[in-house]
Amino acid sequence: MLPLLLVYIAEYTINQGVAPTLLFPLDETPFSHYRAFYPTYNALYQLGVFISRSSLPFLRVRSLYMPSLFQCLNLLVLGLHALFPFIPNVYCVFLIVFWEGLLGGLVYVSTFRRIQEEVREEDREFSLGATSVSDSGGICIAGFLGMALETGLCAWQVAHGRDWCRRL
Amino acid sequence: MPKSAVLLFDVVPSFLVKLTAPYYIHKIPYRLRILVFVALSTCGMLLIALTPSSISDAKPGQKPGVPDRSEILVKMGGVVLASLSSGGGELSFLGLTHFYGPFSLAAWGSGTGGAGLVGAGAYVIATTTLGLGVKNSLLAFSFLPVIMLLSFFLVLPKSQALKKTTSYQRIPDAADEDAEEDAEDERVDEGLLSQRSSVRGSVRGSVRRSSPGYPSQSKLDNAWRSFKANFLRARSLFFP
Repeated sequence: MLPLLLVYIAEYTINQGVAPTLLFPLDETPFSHYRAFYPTYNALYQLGVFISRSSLPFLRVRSLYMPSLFQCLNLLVLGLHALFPFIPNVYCVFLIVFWEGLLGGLVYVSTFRRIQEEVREEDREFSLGATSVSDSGGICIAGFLGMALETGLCAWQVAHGRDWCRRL
Repeated sequence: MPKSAVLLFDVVPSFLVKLTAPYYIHKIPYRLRILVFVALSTCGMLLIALTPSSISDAKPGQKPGVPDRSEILVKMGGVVLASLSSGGGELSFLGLTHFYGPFSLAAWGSGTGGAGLVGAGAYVIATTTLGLGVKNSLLAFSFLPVIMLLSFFLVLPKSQALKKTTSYQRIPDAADEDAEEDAEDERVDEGLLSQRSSVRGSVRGSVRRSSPGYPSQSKLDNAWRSFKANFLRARSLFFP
């Protein structure tokens, strides 16, 4: 349950807390409004999730902790960029957000697949259901973290001369 | 109402259901569960769609009013119903994959991923491309839970395991109490991952102490032991 919990905390914190502040000057992007960034990030993320959640018949990743670690790294990198911009352009962020979706979906299906394979027959039905609490728990926790992060990051950006997050 | 509060109404009910339901939902047959979830989802969406909205109902030229308390509460009620259905449905369908083999899990994973894409996309298409208002889009989507009914009752192959109410583990009857107690403790202990010996000791100790002498006490005991076994299973799932 723990890797799933971690992945969801990181993922939803990125989506709710950090993504709204990942903005670039409009002329460097294909957008004409600042409010277009967020839905695009969301769409790319969902695409990544869909692809990795459909990957079970083709790809098996045994480790649950490695992808979770990478997801937390994603949160760190994107959070740092919101504070001290170092990512050169928006297309790199597109890639990272897509990668975030891939990781999230991967841990999700891999966790349940591991339960199917490793938990003995009579416990399996219960275990499958019981483990689903980890993603909800992660979303709950991320909801609170995201609230704080979004306001905090935006305020920081405005104080450092980048008021795009207020111009949504 | 702040965005974060709406999110809480959406996420917390689902979380609470997923946390507690595995301990009692096995008493409820799958067919009944599906009917309940479809009803909850539909009611939730209808509540949101049909509540008179002081924003979208404002006459042209009139400044849209601030939604009043009761309107917000009713709509949040709709969100809560949908969230309950979502949480209960997810854990039920996940458990159901146990009866249909490994490919069902792959298909289910893909479906939930697709739901994210389609759910967001359909709303955007309905409100922008098709030009339906918010209220009409929601009304149209209120019919979506019917697809769940069709897929469960018509499309899904019948499985032997769904015929009767399932329980996660067999409860020994009063006559075999003592012999089965040890066997059961062994099974719980040797489960997925090894239990720490102190846990083993406490389970065995409490089970021995509560050895029932009368049938009514035995039912409560069994329920408590079943809960405890499930809880220990859940605990051992925490660190894969």
